[in-house]
Amino acid sequence: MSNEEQLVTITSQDGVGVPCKKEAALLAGVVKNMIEEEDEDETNITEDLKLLKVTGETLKKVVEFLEHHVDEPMETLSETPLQMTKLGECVGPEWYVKFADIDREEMFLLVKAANYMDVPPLLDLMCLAITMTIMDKSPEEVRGIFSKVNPSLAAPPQAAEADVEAAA
Amino acid sequence: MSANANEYEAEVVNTSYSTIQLPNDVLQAFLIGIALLVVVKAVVVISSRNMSPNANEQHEADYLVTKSKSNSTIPLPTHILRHCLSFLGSTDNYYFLASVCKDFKTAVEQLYGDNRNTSAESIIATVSTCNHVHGLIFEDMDLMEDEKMVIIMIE
Repeated sequence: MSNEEQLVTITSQDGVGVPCKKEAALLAGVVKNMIEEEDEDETNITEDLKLLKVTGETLKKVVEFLEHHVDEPMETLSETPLQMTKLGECVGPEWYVKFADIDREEMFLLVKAANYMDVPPLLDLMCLAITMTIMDKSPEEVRGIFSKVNPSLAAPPQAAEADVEAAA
Repeated sequence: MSANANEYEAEVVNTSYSTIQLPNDVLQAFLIGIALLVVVKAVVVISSRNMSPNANEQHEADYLVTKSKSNSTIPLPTHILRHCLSFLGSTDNYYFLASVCKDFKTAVEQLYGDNRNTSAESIIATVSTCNHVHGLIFEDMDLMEDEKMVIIMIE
């Protein structure tokens, strides 16, 4: 059976098994390494592809991305610094723009999953989407965006030091 | 106390009263002066609350720490954040913030007109120039802590 037809099941941290074409799954570095290790051991690759840091919901989105990317690869038109202000102007085809049209929390979960699973195109897409949300924002607005997700940006240095002292 | 003594005391009181009695216009001016002082003092106190970097930072810090504690469920690793921000400028330089921060952009425009290319290879080529731009911003702004943090991280 070719990679194109073969399915593997990737299991999330909360035990959700998500079937995925092997060809698509190989785009994820972590899964690829697991499969290669399994192949070396000549064991059944459909077992034990467990990801410890990705939830079921996020994993489904990642697999959706991977399978679509196999059929219709994403094209990034970005050159830095970005001159565009809309995601649709620097990413194609349109499917990816719609895929990235999600709320910010989901965006951050996906970017973390892409980072953990080593999926560069998804990481690029999500980082571009995040970038679009912070373009031309004032410092307060940028702080507001990242303070919900990144404590290191939320707290000024003095506050962070105060926290450390308080914890000690 | 004798009647004479009472009279004497009344005279003293009258005398002392008469010595501090001021003309109405002077008294009015005095009262206006006090009122003005009170107003000026109030304005100074209010503006110091708003403008004092320490007070403002402390207030902001309290708010942000509380906020970050309650909402920081999805912290982004620094290298991911850097990857995001790298789209706004060249990676491995910390000038990309010009595209993020309106005030920074304004300062750059003051220096360089319509040229908004802020990559390290173009208009802002030296740290001293960057500091100059920052100086323009910090004249009017107390807080740019997120930029400072990012710059610290990148450095």
